[in-house]
Amino acid sequence: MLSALSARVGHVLVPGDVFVGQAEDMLSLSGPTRKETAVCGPGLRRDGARVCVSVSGILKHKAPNVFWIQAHGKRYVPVKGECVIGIVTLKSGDVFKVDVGSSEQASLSYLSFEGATKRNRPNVQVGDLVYAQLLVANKDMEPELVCIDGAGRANGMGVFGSGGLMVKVSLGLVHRLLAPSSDLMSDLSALYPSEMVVGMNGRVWVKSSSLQQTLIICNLLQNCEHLSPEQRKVLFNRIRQGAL
Amino acid sequence: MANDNAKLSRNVLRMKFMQRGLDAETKKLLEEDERRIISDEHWYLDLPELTAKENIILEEKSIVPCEELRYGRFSFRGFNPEVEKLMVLMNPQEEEEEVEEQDLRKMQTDVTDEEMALRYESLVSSMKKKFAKKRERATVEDVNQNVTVSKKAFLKPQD
Repeated sequence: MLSALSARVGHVLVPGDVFVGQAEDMLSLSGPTRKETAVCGPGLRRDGARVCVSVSGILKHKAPNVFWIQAHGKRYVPVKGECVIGIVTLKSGDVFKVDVGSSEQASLSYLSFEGATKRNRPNVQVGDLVYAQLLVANKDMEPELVCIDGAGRANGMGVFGSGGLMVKVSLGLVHRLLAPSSDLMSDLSALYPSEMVVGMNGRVWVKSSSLQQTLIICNLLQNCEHLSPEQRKVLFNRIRQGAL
Repeated sequence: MANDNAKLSRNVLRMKFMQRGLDAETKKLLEEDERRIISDEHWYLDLPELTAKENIILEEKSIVPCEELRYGRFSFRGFNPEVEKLMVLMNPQEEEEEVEEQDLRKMQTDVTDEEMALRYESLVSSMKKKFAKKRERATVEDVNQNVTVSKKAFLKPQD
């Protein structure tokens, strides 16, 4: 299975492509068992003993055995454990309804904030921006958000920022921004003193010292999707010189 | 008076007052029957054994571990110091680099071996002077000067 997958790394795949376990896998079970488990990331699905592709994109590989499809899309599907930016839309009793950009609104209990008790309620209003982690996210249930981790610490989650501007970005750009060695991020960091919150659901919130700088950064983010690295560098140079 | 044991239920027959009239042999037979019913097999269902299929494929739904994505909050050039602290905390790889940088910095501000030796030398001599007796202190202080006066011995007065 690993050999079949590794052979297509870097190729463009479409939904319907299937990887079948080779006969070698079966034979190795009789001898000294050397289990080579393949981990299918997003875009790949297990179907019995086969691996099916469910999203069109490029097959990526990470040592030793992780494969996934790198796809471009705008629609976010909630996944457990990811940190997203949500907008509070409703406050009903003990639960807030938060819009995360998925097909259903997520629920956020008022007790899942750091230091919240029944008497000490968090100060969350309708229309606030919340940076939270998905606790429950599957196709059968309503997504649930929490603003604390397992130990009860906030770790930067919760209601953030007054001011600033939130923009909607494609998911591919979000993955590029959050990659460990990201040129885009280092370019942006050298530009102005600013603060950014990037949610995995394609939402980015930016705040800088002046409104014009904030707008410049937001426009850069939205345009950088379609620029090649050289064009991007040219644009950044122009901004640094103050032409814009 | 119903003397037909067939019409009485099993549970009634098992009761103590019904057992008194029986022989010892029939009692043993009844006990064995009961034990046979409640044996170890009683607790296992009659199902065929299910073999667990060996899974060589694992599913991972999130892209965060695949691409090793970083923490989502950023602050640049000191805009929000708390977020900068969080960035350091939540990104484990950056911490390793910082530890190395701290080591390098420490090397520069550390006292070199030569300085250490000089300081130790002067420290030892000053401590020695402190605990030296009066006559010895005089000789120690005169080390740097040219002529050292020899110690005068006691001269017995001639009578």
